[in-house]
Amino acid sequence: MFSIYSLLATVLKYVFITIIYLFIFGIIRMITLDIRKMNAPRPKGIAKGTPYLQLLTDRKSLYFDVKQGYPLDREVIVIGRGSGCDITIDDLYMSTKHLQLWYEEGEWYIADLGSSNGTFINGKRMSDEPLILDAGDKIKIGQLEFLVVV
Amino acid sequence: MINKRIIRVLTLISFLFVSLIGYLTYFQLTRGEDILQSPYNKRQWEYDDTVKRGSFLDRNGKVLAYSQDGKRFYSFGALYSHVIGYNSNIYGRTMLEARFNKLLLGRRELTEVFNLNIDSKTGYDLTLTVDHALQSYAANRLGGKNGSVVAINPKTGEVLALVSKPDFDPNEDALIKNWNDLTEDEQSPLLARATSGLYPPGSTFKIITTTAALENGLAAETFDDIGSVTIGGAVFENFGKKANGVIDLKKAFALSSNFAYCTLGAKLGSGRMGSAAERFGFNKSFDFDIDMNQSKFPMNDTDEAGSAALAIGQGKLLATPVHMALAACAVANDGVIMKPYLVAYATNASGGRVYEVRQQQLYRAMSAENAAKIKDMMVETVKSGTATASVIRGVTVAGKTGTSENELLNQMKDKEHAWYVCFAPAEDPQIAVAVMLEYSGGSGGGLCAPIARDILRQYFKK
Amino acid sequence: MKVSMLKRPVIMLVLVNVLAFVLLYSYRMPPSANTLLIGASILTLSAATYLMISRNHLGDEYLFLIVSMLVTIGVAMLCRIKYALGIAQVGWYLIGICVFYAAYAAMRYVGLWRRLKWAYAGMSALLFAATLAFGVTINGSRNWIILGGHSFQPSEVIKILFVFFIACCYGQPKTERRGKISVKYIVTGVTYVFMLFLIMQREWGMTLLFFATYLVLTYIYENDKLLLLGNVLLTSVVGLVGYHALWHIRIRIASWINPWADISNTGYQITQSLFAIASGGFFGKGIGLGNPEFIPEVHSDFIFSAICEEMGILGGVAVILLYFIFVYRGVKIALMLPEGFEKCVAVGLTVLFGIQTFMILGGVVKLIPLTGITLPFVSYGGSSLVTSFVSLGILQAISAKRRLAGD
Repeated sequence: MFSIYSLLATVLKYVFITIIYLFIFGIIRMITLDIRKMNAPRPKGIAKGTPYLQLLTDRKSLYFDVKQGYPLDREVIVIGRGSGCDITIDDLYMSTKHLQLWYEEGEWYIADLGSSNGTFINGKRMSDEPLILDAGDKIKIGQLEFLVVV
Repeated sequence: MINKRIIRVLTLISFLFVSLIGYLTYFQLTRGEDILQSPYNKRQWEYDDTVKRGSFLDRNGKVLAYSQDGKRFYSFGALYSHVIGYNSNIYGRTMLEARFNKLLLGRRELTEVFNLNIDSKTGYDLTLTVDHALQSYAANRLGGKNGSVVAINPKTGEVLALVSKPDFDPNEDALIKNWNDLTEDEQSPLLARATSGLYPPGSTFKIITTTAALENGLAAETFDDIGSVTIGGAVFENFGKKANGVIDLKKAFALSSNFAYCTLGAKLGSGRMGSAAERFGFNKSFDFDIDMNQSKFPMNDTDEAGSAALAIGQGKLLATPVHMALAACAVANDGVIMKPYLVAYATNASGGRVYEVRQQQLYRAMSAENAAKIKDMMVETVKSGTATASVIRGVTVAGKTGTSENELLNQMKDKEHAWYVCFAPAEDPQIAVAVMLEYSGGSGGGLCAPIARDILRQYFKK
Repeated sequence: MKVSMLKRPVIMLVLVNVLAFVLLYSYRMPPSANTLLIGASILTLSAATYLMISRNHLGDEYLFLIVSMLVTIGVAMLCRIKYALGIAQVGWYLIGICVFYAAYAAMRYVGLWRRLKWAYAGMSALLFAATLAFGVTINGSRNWIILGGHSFQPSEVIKILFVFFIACCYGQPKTERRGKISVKYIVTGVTYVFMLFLIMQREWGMTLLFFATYLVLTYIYENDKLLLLGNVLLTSVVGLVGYHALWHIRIRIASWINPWADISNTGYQITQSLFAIASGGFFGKGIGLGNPEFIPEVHSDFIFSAICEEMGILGGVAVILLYFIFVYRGVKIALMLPEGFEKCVAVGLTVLFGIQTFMILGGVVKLIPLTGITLPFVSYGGSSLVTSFVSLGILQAISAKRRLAGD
C-alpha cells in the first residue's frame, strides 16, 4: 500500500511542478500581453507629447475604416458615427454622437452621450456620470477598443 | 520622479528575489550533497536503515566489508582502514565509504536527478582492484613501522595494494572505544600516509630529474664525483660521502650520486625540472577514489643551491607515496601514467554491473624513448647500484632508492625517510611498488628494497 | 479569445488543488473525507472570489489568483505536516476572505482614510502598550495577546497601520502641507518609537521590516540622501552596540555564519532546514515522502523548507516567482495611480510584503541571518493570514478605484 502511494506521489510531484509553472507562465503571458498593448509604438502623424487614443482592436477584421490612433489635440472631442463629430467612425454599433472627451484643469474627462450600446471603461459600462480618464484606461465603444495614452 | 524611484525599488526587490533563486540553485548544486552526507542529518540514517548497504569485495571476490542488521562490519579490522574507511552513525563516513556512498545505498546518478527513492532496498556491492593476499602480506611485512606501501599495475592503473601504517580498527564499537586515543595519538593513526602524507621524495625524485636532463640534451654528461660539491654556497654530499670517480649519467643514477645530480640540477634550473615534474602530475590534482593531497614542486625556487636541492628530491619538494609509485609507473609504461583507481565495478543483487570504470591515461610524463633509457638505469640500479637488496632470481627488477632528510633531522639523528620505488618484470612490467618508511633513520636501499622485493615475490608466486 | 486566455491560469489552480488533495487523501491512513472537503472548500472560496473579481471588474485580477495559488500550496503542505493545522488554516482562510471583502469595501467606498494620520499612530501605540502590558511570550518574543482563547500578534496589525500613517504623511501633496516640522522628521520619529517598542518585545524581524519599509518609502517620497545616510549610520551604530550587548542578536548572527559550530543548540533549526532543502534536490521527494517534521517550527517560519524538501528547488523557485509576480503587480498598480495617499499605500504595502518575503526566505535558506517572521499567505497563523488578506483587500480596492468626476 505504501509503495503505491510512493509511486503516486513521485509521479505527481512532476505534474505539480509542471502545472505550477504553467500557471506562472500563464500569468506572465497575460501581463506581458497587457504591457505590449500599452507600449505599442505611437501611430504615425501624432506629435510627441500629444495625448491620443490608441486602437487595440485588430484593424484587419473590420469592414470600415479606422485609424490606428487619434490625437487628443482639441479641448473638446466628440466621437460618433455622424459626420459632424470630431472623430467619425462608421461602426454600425456606435451611435451618431456616442461620447465626448474634454480637457479641464489638467484632466481628461469622458462622458457617454446617451449612446444605445454604451461606453465601457476597463470592461465596465459607464453610467451617465462623467469620469476622469487615466493613462492606461481602456475605452470600448461599438466593436472597437481604445487605450488612453497620455 | 516618484515613479522613477518606485521602479528603482522594484529593481532592487527583483534583485533580492533573483539572488534568492540563484543562491538556492547554487546551494543545491555545490553544497547539497555534502550537507546531505552530514552525520547530523537524521534523514540519511532513516533512509539508510531501510537499505542494506552494499559490501566491499577484493578483486577475487573476498568480502572486505559488509552490513548486517544495520551495522557495518570490517572483516579484516585495521587492514583497510585507510582504503575503505569507516561508516559510522556517530563519526560519519570516510574514504571509499564516503565517496561511493550513493552506490553503496543503491542510488545512481540518473535516479538521483529525479529523486526516485522507490527502487531497490539493497545497495550495490563494490569490487575493488585490491588483491587481498598482497594487501595483507604488505601490511604484515611493514609490521610495526610507520609508513606506506603502494602497488599499482602500471598498464591499467589498478591499485593492487594500498597500505598506510599506523592504522586503526574501523568497526563502530572499536571506534567508540578508541576515538579519543585515535584523535590525540601523536602518531596520528587517522592520517592515511599513502594518499595524504606529504614527504620529501629524496633520490627517488632523480627519475624526474633524469627525465628533465634527457629532454634538455644532458644525456652525455660525465662527472668526476669527489663525494661532495658546493653549489651556491651550499654543500651537498653523497650518501656516506662516498667518492665515485668519473661516472656517466647511467652510473650516477645507479649509484644515486648527489654530486652528479646537484650539478645537473644547478645546470637545469628549477624551471626545467619543474616543467618535467608537472608533467608527472606535481602541483596538480586528479580525481582519485580517495581524497589525495597534491604533491608540490616549488616553481619559484630559482637560485642554484635551491635547484641543486630540488634535483635530489630535497628542499621544499613534497610528494605522496602514491605519487612516487605513479612516477615508477610512468617509466614502466613507456612514459604514460594510467589513472589509478580502486573501485573496479559495482554490481546489483543479481550480479549485473551498474557501474564500471573505464581505464584511461592520466598524464603523458615523458617520451617512450626516454622511458626506455630510464628503465635501463633503474635495472642497472638493482643489478649493481644502491638497490641490490631487491634482486629476485628469474625476474628483472627495475628500481630507485631514496633517503630523504626532513624537518626532524636538525633535532635528532637517524630520522630520515627511506624510499624505494620499483617495477617488475622490466621487460613487461606488471606491477610497480612504492615503499616509504617515515622517520626510519635507515636508507631506502637498506630498509625498503628488501620489503619491496618480498612484496614482488609474493605477487609473482601465484 | 481573451476570455479563454484569462481562464487558463485558473484551470491550473483548480488542477493543483484537486491533485494535491486527492494525493493527501490517499496519504492519510485511514483516508478521511475531510481531506477532500478541505480541498473543496479552498477551491470554492478561491474560485468564487476570483469570479467575483473578474466578473464585476473589481480591479486587478492577478493579485488574488497568485494569492490563492500560494494559499493552496500552503494549506496542502500544512495538511501533510500536521493535519489539524491544515484544517485550522482553512478556517482562517474563510475569515481572511471575509476581511478581504470588508477591507475592499472600506477602502473603496470610505474616503476619510487619508485624514486619520494620528488615529493610526495612536492605535498603534495603544496596541504596543497592550502587548507590553498583557502580552505573553511565545518562542522568545513577547509579542502575543490572548483574546478569547485565540492568540494574536498585534504587530501584524500595526504593520498596516504603519503604512497608512506614512501614506498620510508622504501622500499629502507638498503644497498642502502645513506645520513647522517637515513630515519626514515626523515619520522618522514615529518609526523610531515603533522600532523601540518592537525591540522591547524582542521582535527583531519586525523591527527590521519596519525600518526597511520606512527607508524605502522615505527614499521614494523625500529622496533626502542626508537623512537616509544618517539613518543607516545611526542604525549601524545601534546595531553594533546591540550585537555586543545583546546575546540574542549575537546568537543569531553566529548561527548564520556557522550553524554547524553549535549544531545541537543554536544552529539546530537552520541546519535542519538546510538538510530538508538539500534532500529535496531539484524535483523534491514527493509530498508525504520527505521528513519535514524534523524541522522545528516547520508549519510557520520554516514552511518554505518543507516545500523545498517535498516539491524540490523547482517548487521553491515557483513559490518565489509567485511572490515576485505579486510584488510586480503591486508596483504596477502603484505606478498607474496619480500621486497621493493611495499610491503611497499601494507602494508601502507592496514593499512591506516583498521585504518580509525576502527576509524569511533568505533566512531559512541561510542567505541572510534568520529573523522570526512569517511567510505571508503560506505560513500557518491566523494573525498573519488575516492581516495579509486585509492588505490584499486594500490593494485590490486601490487597483479598482475609479475616480468620479465630482470627487
